[in-house]
Amino acid sequence: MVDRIDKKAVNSLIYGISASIRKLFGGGADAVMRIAGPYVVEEFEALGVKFEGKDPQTLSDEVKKATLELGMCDDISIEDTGDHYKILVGNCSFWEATVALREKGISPFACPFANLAMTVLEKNLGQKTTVEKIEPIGDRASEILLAKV
Amino acid sequence: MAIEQILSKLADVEGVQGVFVVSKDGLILDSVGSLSVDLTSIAAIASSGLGSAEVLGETAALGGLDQEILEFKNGKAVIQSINQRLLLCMIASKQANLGMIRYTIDKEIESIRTTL
Repeated sequence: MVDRIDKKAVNSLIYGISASIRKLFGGGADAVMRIAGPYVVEEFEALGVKFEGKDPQTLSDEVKKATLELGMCDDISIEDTGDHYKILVGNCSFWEATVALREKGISPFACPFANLAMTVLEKNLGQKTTVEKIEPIGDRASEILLAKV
Repeated sequence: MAIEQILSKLADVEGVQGVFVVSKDGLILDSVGSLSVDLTSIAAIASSGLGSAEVLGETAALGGLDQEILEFKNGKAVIQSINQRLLLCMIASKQANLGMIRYTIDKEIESIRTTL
């Protein structure tokens, strides 16, 4: 059995699942991801990844370590801008899916980085957020904006 | 008037057990009532349910959706669109009067929109 999967295949899967969930649930698709978040974190923790930070910086460092180690991106920063958390992802492994969704006029929502950040921010810091923007920027980079609630 | 006061008017309808303002991405923003159930899941299900019904309306060329009414064996749920970002979810007992619930929503929905 192979122990790796081509990034293109992962992007195709994310694109297909995202497009179909958006088609079925319209704007309510975003709520699907709020429920998915804790399951994603649970699976990550089963892989040995821990999110134990009780302050934004430690938590940001833990998300960075986990996503880099799992090959989800080459760089990630999470900045607390006051009303928002601004997440910049460099060399995003899911960039093709994000771009393909945008090109088809489908608003991306199944972003693993947004999902992960939202879940650990709420779980560890009690900070509820909503996704305001998931946008491909430049060469394989993405900007995610989480609004604090 | 504060949003909690308006929601309390809805919760005062006989049989209503919980009233929630939920963002379209499934986050409870305000709530009134005494339901001891998984509210996080209810919020997300209400949002995705309303979204799915809206898509049904669009696909079947039925137009936009204002309200979704669900009658279960042991109770009722009414989900009302507030605006593009928010919805109202009401959970009620089997005995609750749907007509009274709908009347009260109609009466208060503009106040809710203005307040939010």
